[in-house]
Amino acid sequence: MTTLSDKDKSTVKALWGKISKSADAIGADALGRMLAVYPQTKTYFSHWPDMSPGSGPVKAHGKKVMGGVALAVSKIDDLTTGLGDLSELHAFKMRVDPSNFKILSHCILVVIANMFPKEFTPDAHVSLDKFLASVALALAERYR
Amino acid sequence: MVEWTQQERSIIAGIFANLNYEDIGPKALARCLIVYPWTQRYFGAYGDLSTPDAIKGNAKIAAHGVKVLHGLDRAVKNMDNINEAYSELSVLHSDKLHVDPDNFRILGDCLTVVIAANLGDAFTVETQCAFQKFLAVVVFALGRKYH
Repeated sequence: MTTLSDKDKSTVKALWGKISKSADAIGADALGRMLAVYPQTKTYFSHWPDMSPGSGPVKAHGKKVMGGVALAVSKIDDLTTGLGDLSELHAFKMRVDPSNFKILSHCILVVIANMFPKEFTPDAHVSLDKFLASVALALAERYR
Repeated sequence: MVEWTQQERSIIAGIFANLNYEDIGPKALARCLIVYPWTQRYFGAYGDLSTPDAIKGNAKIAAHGVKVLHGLDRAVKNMDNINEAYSELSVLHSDKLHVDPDNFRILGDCLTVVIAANLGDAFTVETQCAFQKFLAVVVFALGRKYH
């Protein structure tokens, strides 16, 4: 769908530089909100004892997800290659319906807007939205 | 029919009672036009939309953002009958304005982002749940009379 321009890449990197120290909190909050606002996403986590916002499993997994986003930022010039292993994981092991990537992306954007209202300008928003869409595409690469 | 808990009703009422329409409306619409540029197709007569700064400074867009946000008042006042409340507006958007209904969802997402930025800690998980449920119901109602 989307090619990231040089401006998109530099905007994403600059924004990431400002927010990355809060990555764990962003991930935990975004995941917790996703599970609450889009209950159908809970179907992937039925093995967790507690799926409520702020719970142990949600915090741990939110941290893991943002680790993936950090990796994507570092591989922003070639997401398909850089996220190859993660794509295989999501395709063959976890088999997450790719429509859910869009849902989680929305929640990540909402949390960043909430925590960093000044930094999350419309320009930052469009570049980050494009970036997350590209990440989703790279993650779906190995599906079929 | 949509069922609302007492908590959801008071969350929605609270958001709109404390809303600065003149601030939030323009921000939400401008963000929509910047983040999803294809939505600009409906605003050919609104003047300069050539850059994000032009969009943000465009008085016609700002005025329209306020108007659109006030369009949600109808749902706040008719929580138990949102489909009927938007019947005429749905026909208008379909037959006169020719707006692809997917744009309602997109604008709703932008409004959620702007409200999230505006409310800070008050934008709790429960608040987001209620607000997104509310928007989803309005979006459905607006698309309902398309044919």
